[in-house]
Amino acid sequence: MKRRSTITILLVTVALALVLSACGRANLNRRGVNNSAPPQSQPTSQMLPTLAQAATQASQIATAVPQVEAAATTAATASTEITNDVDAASQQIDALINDLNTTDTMSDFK
Amino acid sequence: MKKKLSSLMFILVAGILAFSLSAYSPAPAVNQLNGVQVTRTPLAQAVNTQLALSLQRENNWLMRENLHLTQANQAITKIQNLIDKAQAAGYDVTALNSALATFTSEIATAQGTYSQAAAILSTPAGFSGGQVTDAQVAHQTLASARDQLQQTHLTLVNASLSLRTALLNWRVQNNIK
Repeated sequence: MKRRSTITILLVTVALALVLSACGRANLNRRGVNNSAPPQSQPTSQMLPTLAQAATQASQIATAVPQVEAAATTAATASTEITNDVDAASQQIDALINDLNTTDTMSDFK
Repeated sequence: MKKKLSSLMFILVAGILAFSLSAYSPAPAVNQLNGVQVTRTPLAQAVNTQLALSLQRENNWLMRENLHLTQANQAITKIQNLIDKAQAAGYDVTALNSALATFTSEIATAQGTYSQAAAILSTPAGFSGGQVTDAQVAHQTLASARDQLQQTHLTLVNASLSLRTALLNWRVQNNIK
């Protein structure tokens, strides 16, 4: 009777060991790499910016955004001005050509 | 006696008629031209009228070409303004600069031939107060001035067409709406 209980305890222990082993393998992929674990080469604490760095970056972004917007506005304004200048120059040349075409060049003079 | 009187009357009437006809026949106008006495016929008067009219037309043409030169110089200013702005905005203005340099040079050439025409027409030989004094000299004056004006005109037309083509090409290449 005592032997039987010892065997039962052994079986329960083995089963428990198997279950625990199976639970540990759940975090491993087929090649044995644990994807859920953070990369070992660089600790997570080093990858994340510090609060001071984040504040600096936010400040830089806050400064850069209006500059980019201003540059875009300037570029758009310059583009419009260039278009207007091209139109003005074209109209000037067209007016000259039209005027030249309507000039009496005395082709009938002998 | 009556027959003799009638003959006398007929001769008298014929004589009066002949005299009156000779008195009203158009006498050719005589003029002195280069020391040679020439007869001024209605045809010559018509030619002189045409020469005087041609002088007016050439003076009008001269004024038009002056206007064209002013317009061409305004175009130079506008293109230069465009080049400055486009260059500042980062556009490649090499082709436009080259086209403007050519145009400016051609306008200078046109200005030269225009000045020659203006010099000829300022004191036109063969004319006095717009009227012909020497038809041959007047014709030569008009022909010389016309040559210079035509040269001015052709130079302006070619230069303007080339500049317009260059500007259009630059606009397309740089995708300017």
